[in-house]
Amino acid sequence: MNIEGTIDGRRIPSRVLEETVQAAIKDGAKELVIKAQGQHGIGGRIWPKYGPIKITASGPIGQRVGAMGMFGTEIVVDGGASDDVGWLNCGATITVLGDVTNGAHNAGAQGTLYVQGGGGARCDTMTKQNPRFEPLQSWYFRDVGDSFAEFKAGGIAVVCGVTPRHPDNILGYRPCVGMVGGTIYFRGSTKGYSDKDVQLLDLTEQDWQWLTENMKPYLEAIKRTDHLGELTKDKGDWQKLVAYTPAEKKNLAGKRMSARDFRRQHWEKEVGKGGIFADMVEETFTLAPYITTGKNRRQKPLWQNEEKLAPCVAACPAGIPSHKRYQLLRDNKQSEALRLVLEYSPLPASICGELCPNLCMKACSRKLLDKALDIKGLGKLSGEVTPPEPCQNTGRKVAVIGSGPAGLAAAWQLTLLGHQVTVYEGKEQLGGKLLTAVDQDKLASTILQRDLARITTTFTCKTGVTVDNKLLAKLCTDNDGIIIACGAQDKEGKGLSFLTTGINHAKGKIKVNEMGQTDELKVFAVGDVISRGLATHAIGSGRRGADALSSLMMGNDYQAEKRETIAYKQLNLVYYEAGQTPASLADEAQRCVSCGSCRDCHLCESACYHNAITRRGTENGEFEYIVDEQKCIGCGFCAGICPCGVWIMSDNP
Amino acid sequence: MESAGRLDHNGELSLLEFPYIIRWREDRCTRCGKCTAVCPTKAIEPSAMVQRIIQSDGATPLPDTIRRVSHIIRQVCDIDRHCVGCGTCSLVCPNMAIVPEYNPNHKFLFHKNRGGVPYKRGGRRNDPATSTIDKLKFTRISMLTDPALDAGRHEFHIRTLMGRIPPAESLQMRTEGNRLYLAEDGFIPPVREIFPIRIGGMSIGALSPPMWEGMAMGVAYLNEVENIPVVMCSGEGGLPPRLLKSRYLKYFIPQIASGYFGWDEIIHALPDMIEDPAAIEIKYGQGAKPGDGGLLMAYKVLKLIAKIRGVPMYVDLASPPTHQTKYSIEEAVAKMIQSVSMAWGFRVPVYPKISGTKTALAVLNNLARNPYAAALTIDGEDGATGAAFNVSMDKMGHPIASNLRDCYLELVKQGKQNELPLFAAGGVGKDGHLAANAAALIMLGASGVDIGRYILQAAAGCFGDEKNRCNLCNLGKCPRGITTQDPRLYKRLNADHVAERVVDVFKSAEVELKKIFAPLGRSTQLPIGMSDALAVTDQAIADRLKISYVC
Repeated sequence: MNIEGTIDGRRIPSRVLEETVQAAIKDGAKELVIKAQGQHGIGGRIWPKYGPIKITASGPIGQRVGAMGMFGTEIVVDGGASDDVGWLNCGATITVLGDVTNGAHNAGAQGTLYVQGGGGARCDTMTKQNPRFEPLQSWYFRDVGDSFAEFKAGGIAVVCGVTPRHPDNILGYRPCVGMVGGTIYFRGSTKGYSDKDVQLLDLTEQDWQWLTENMKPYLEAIKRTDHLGELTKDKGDWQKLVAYTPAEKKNLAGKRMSARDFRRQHWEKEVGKGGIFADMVEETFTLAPYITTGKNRRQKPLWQNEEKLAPCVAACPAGIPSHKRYQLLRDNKQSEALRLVLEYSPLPASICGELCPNLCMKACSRKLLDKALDIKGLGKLSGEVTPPEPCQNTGRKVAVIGSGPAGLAAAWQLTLLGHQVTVYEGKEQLGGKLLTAVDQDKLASTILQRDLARITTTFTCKTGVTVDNKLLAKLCTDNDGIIIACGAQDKEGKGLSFLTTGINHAKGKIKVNEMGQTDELKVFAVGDVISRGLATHAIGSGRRGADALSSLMMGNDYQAEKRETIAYKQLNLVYYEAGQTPASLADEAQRCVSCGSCRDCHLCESACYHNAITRRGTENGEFEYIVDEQKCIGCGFCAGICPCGVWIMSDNP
Repeated sequence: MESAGRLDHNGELSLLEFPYIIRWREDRCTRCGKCTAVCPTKAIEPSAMVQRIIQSDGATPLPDTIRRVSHIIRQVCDIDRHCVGCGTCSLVCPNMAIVPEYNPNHKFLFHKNRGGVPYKRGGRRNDPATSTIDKLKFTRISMLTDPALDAGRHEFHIRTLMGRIPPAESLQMRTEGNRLYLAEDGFIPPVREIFPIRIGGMSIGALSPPMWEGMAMGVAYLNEVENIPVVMCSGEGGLPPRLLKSRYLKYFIPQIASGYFGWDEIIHALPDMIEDPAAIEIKYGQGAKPGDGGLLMAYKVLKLIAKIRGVPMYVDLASPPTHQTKYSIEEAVAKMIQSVSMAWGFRVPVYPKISGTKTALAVLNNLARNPYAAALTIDGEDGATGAAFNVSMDKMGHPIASNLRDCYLELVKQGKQNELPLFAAGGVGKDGHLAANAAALIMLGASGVDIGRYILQAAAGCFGDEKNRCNLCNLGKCPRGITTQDPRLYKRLNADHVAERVVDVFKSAEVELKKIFAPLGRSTQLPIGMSDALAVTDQAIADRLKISYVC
């Protein structure tokens, strides 16, 4: 049946032509010959139930010839065709005996397109692959235009490359962008394709078999069988482009040059080994972890046992280490504990136990939790202890002028240090202001006498002897050192008239340096005559003056107490239960916080996650806790949880 | 000796005054101490805690007291050791037992001025609100009208020009036959074609060696491997001689600022340079701290920095707010541009950078008249810094959007919008929308944008945010190793990884820019000033920026 696109010199609309074709098919026509006049979509949408149908079209063919073509439809275009030949082809076989322009087989899914010439731009784009059907085939005899096979998802395209328009690039500019499926066989050269989407491969035997088998009917259809030999001569003339699988693509994406390779192969070759800063730093730029040990720690723990003063010690004018007494008690060394005080004060029962307002107890850390330890009670208990043995006799002689608490403390201290001491007291009895200025209510004479009795046998006492200029001068000659402890004076300093010229004083006070030394090298002054205070202050002053004088006489360096006091916040009181009444001295000793002094409780050792802390005994029978620098990360757990504040974290430069 | 009174809570701050509160889970903690070992401010510390439970198990009241002392991680209520919320503790915790939580009711600024010293920090303006540039939408989507492009398929040439482009008629040319030649004393200003997102000036010193080198390597990679011509400004602190003498110098913009740090080394290296730098930036101001100068704190001035900058170690390095020896805008700009251009034989674009300011137009007009001025960079208030007073960062400066827009429209008025490129900075990518922010600024009139903090966040995992998280840059305690000179910290940072991330950032930004430009039908020319593509749902912003209001 012949159908004319032009009737009576007038072009019929595409709609009318389509209606005419559909009506003819319904009437049973099997072969249509259409003389077109640019009508759109010729030959499509003929349902297979009417087939097989053969349509031969000629004349100016409109766009989308064979669009939505179906199985059973065969279309032959006698001459070239316009855009979108075989658009959304669903099975038709379309032969174009000429060129196709842009968009041939765009979105095609099934069927076959045979092109006798070449293709325009964007041919074989968006093609599909439906597993229910055989794949789409698109055959181009010459070459194809730009943007070929974009987003191709299926089907086989063959570009034979015979007398191409662009012999150096038969697939056009940038083919295969976004291509995810299907195969392109081509013969000739290409100037590139989207290499992130597809790969170029040689044909396999299977490919070659398919190509050579299907080449013949194609060439027959386009009337070019004379090229069969040339096109099927050599598998090596052909190549194929196939889409990467998603897995291959992923692999490909990860295959960009690593920065490490860039650094080694490019960067360092240009700027020098080690990079741009290598000539300016000593350290190499190696990676380090966030958690570091050894010298790379930000801070390191230090076991500072006894490096800071317990508040009680710092508060005591006499510097009595009460915390050590409690440590001895905890160690079941009761007599040592009670005797320890005698190394600091000759009159513990009188002063600590009675007269002193006990500044130690006011400062006691335990007060933060409940109440201070009973250090006063400890003083009282020390009234009956036996005194320690003095050191070996040094042969040095010292005169102490005055037998108040300062003078007695100095005399006692010097005696313990092995010096030969003579105390000069103007009155008939020893004791100074303890006798003259203290009520019996405050200090029973029995207690004082007991304290005095313990010490007065250890040095010579000359009571009732008033020291004047002459005697002082003599004492200076006869002795290696003098301690003046003549007590508080009035502002005129009348009582200081015995002083020789070298010893300066003003307003009733003898001028001394921080060691208690007067302007005469070997003459020291202690107690109220240099600075008024409690009896306890006098004890401390006497002890320090004695220590300083002893150092001078023995040629040693005098070590004044310079330690800082531990801060309360460094202590951890949570380990102690508040409010309990101690049943015994041993219980009381357990209450002591042991500020700044290691209790040897092993808490740090247990808490250290990294096992960096070890306790070890030392040669002198003591112990210490040490840190393995290679294990410690500087977390501060030891310092944070130590009950005694012994561990501190120090910056690790 | 301290008195017992000090142990009471008088004068102590409560945890609720602090900006971040540590949530610690006792049930998960192993007491390994990793969190306290890394906390940059020592805001947490191990401690002991006692708990008391009274139980009565039987059928009658029969109390039993259980006392339990355990070890905990305690937050310190000390303003000098405040938790900055960086989350390094969470990072290293093996059991997810610890995390800082933002406390919106904090009173941090009421207290952070101990000793009469105002609060200093790094980072940018602490304002988590959406910035104007982030509010702009791209509402011109061509489907059937302009030829819409496909970002995934079409080829794009996303490039901009850095350098002055004088109108053809102003060039002094002569003809010979039918060919054009530059006249004897004619001058064609140098121009570079670059990617429109640059890495803005961050100095060696402000940044650690691996951070700076990682970025530099990433930039070289982008140029050499990916063909994306990204350039990077040195910041004020010089460049290492090895880089100055390398081929890669062409990807870098050395910065000269009021401190002139490192410039003697740059000048010494001049005869050995085998490439010209991409441009020279003259810094007059910085968006993060307008009116204030640079400051590199002494504890960041270690050996390397001292060497590169040519200064003694362990001294505070101040760049004054203004350049010395310049007494008027005419003199300042002309003098600087002339002398720096001269160093490279007028082959290198030289441009000034100013902070966003109401006086930007005055600077612009001055530059418009100066034939050697290659561009103008304006750094808006959301720019970040390594160290500044909080007041400068939070309250000073000008938002970039209207500042840039005013300048662009002024150029349009003078017919010079294609002649003098504007670069915009300050808050680009603040909320992570790098390409969108860049595109918005381009459509408002910028030829390109600078990023700073964004790249630190994206490439090196900088913890900082606009709720003042971390922002320890000024103290050299950066837990990521980005803004520190302490080897113990900067060794945490892998320069290769930084480089890789820089490449990721620019590659993906390029794709996103394509996605934005494709619907405009733009593939080869940036839509500079193409403000009809922009819209905003805020009428006031629309009016001010002269863009359309949509709702």
